Amino acid sequence: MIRLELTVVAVLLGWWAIWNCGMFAVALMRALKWSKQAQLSAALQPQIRQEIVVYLSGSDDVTKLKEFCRQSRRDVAEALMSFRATVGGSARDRLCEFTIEQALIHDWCTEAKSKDPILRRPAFARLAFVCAYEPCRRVAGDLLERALNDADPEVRFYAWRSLVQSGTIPEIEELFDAALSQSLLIRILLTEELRRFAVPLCERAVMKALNSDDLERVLACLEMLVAWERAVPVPDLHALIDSSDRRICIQALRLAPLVPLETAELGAILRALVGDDTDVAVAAAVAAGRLRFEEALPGLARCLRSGHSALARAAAEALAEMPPIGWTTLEEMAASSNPITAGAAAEALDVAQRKARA
Amino acid sequence: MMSAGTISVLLQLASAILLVSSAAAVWPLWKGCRVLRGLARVSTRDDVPILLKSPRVPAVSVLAVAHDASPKSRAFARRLLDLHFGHHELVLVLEGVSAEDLALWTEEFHLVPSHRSTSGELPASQATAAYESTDPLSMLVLLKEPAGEADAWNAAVNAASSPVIALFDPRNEFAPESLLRLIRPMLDEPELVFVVVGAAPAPPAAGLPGSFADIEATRLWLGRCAALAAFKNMLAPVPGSTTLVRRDAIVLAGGFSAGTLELILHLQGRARRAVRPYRAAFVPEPVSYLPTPRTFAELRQRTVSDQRSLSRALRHRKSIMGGRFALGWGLPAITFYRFWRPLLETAAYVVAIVGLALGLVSPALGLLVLLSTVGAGILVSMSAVILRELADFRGSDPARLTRLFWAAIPENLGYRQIRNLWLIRGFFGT
Repeated sequence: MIRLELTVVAVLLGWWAIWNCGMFAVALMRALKWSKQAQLSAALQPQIRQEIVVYLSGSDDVTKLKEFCRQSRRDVAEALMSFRATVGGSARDRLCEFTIEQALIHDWCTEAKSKDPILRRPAFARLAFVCAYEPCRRVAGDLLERALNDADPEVRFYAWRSLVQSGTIPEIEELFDAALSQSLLIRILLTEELRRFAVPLCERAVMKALNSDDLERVLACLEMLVAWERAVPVPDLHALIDSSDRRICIQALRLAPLVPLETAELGAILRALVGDDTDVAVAAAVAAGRLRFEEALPGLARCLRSGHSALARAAAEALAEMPPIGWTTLEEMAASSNPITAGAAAEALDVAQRKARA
Repeated sequence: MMSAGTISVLLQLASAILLVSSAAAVWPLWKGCRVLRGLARVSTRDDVPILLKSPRVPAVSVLAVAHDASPKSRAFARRLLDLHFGHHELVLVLEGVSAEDLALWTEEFHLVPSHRSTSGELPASQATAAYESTDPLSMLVLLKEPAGEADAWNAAVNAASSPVIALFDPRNEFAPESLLRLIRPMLDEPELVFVVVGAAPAPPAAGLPGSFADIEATRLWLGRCAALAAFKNMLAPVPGSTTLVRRDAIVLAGGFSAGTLELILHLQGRARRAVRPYRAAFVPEPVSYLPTPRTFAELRQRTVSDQRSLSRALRHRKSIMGGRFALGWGLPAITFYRFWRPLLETAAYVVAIVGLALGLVSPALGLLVLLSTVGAGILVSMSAVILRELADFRGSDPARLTRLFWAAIPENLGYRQIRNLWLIRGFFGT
C-alpha cells in the first residue's frame, strides 16, 4: 500500500517538477531577452539623447539618429519622449517632423490599434505628444479623436492631453465639461493640463458648470478652480457660499480669496463665519485671514472663543494675519481661561511674531 | 505504546495533509501572479510629478512612536520628514523618554514648545508636552508617559490634522515618493478605498540567507498580499509593507487596540460587515520593503517577529471585529500555514526518525514523509519564483531568477526544518 502511495506521489511530484523546469526555461529565456534589451537601452539611450540635443540645436545631420532607429526604434521613441517636458515651439516641431521622416509615428499608430494595453498606452502617450504638430495629426488621422471615448481610462487620458495641446477653445470647453464627471485622480491630472486655459474657460464653461443643477458637477468645478490657484472672475460667488450643500459652501469659501469680491460675497463670508457648521466656519475663517478682512474681526474673535479646537486655530491664524488689531485681540485671548482659546491664540501669535522677526 | 500500524497510519495521514496543503499553497501564488499582472495592466502611467504639485491631493499625517533618542530612531524620523509629498506632517510620539533623550531630539530638530491642541476623539492619555520644529519641517512631537502601544498610536491620531494617516515600520526601507504612489488608489476611488497597503520584495542580495529571504518575500508578496487583495476585504499589512488609512475610518472604529496589524484587521472586519462596500487596495510597487538579511540570525529575527505579530493579533481577537474571521478565511489560512503546518511537519519528522530508528517505520514510509515535506516544499518554492517572474512586465534579472530557482533546493533541505522551529517558537513567544 505504502509503495503504491509512494509511486503515485513520486509521479505527481515528478510531473510538477517537469512543469516547473519547463516554465523556468521559458521564464529564463524571457528574462535573458529583457536583460539584453535593457543592456542595449542603457548603452544607446545617452547617445541617442546626445544626438537629439545636437539635432534640436539646428543640425540637419540625422545620419546617426537614423542608425539608432535601425538599431532600436523603441529606444529612439523613449528618448524622444524624455524631451516631452523640456521642448516646445519650433524645437518640438522639429522632433515631430523627425518622427514622420523615420516613420516612427506610423509604428505608434499601428501599436495604438493593438489589443494589448501595455503596447497601446505608450503608443497613445507618444501620439498625444507629437500630435501637437499639425502634420503628425494628419498622419494619426482620427485615432486620438476616437480615443476620447476609449474603454481604457488611460488611453482616454492621453487623448484628452493631446486635445489640450492642440484643441480649439470650444474643444477645450468640451474637455472641461467631460473632466467634471471623472474620478478625483483624473480630475487632478486634467486640472494641471487645463490650468493655462483658466481664463478662457471662465468665460463660458465654468459659468455653465457652476449654474448646473448637478451639485457634484458644481463641486468638481469649484475644486478645479481652487486647485488652479489663479485669480479668476466668478460672479455671484455669494450664492455658492450660501449654498445648502456644505461641501459647495466650503469650496466656494476656499475660492473666495482668488476671486474679485463684492459686498455680497463679503457678507456671505461673515454669515458663514458665524453659522452653525464648524467646517464651514473654519473655511470662512481661513478666507477672512487670506483676505485680511478686518470686518470679520468680531466673528473671528467669536470663533476663537467657540471651544472647538480646529475652529479656534483657524480663527487665531486669521487674526494673526491682521496686525495690529488682530494681534491685540490674540494677546487678549491668550489670557483667556478657556485652554483651547488661550492655546490657539498663543500659538498663532507666537508663529506670527516669529515670522515677523525673521 | 503505539503500534507500528498506528504510527504508519498517522504518518500516512500527516503526509496526505502536508501534500495537499503544499499543492493548495500554489493556488494563492498563481492567483497572486494573475492579480499582479492585472494590476500592472490597470495603470502604466506615472502620475507622481503631477500628484506632488497638486493642492487637491489630501494631506497625510505620518505617525511614528519612539521610546528613545537613539541614532536609529532619529534617522527614522528624518527619513519620514524627507518623504516627497505636497502636504504631509510627521506626528511623533516620544513615549517615556528621559530628559537627556528629549534634549537630543530638541537639539536635532530645533524643537520649541507648541500650543497646538493634542486632544481628540480617541481614548488616549494626555500628552505632557507638545513641540514643533523651528526648522521648515512640518513636525509635531508629543511627549507622553508610557501607557502602552495603542495609547501612543491613539494620541498620535488625535493630534494628526490630516484626513489620511500613514504608518511606516522603522525596520523598513522605503522610497521617498512612497506616499505619492500609495495615495493613488484613494484618489481613484475616494469613497471606496479606506486602506492602502504597499509592498514589494527587497532588491536581490547575495548569500543563502538573502536567497531564502527573497523566496520567503516572494511567497508573502504573491500569496498574502496580491492574492488576498483580489478578495473582498482580506488584505492586511505584511512585514515590509507601508499602510495608508483614512483617519475617519480609524476614529469610527474606535482607534488602535494594539498595533497596526490589529487595527487593519479590525477595520477589515468592520468593512466586511458594513452595508456600503469598502475596499482595501494593494500597491505592488517597491514603496517599501524589509532589507534583505545577510545572516541567518537576521533571518531568524525577522521570521520570529512576523510570527509574533500574527500570534499577538490572534490574542487580541476580542478587540477585532469578526475575531479570527476578520479576513474571512484569510486569517485561518495564514494561521494554518504559519503555525499548524510547521507543527504537523515537525511532528511528522520526529515520529518518522524515531520510528525508523526503532524499526517501527518502513524506509518507504520515511521516503513518503520526505517527499510530502521536502519534495513538495522545493516545488512550491520553485513555482513561487517562476510565478513572480511571470507577473513582471518590466523585465528582470536572469541571474536572480536562476539563483532563486535553485536556492529552493537548499531552502528545503535544512533551513525549512529550522524555520519550522522558529515559527513554532515565535507563535508562543511574546
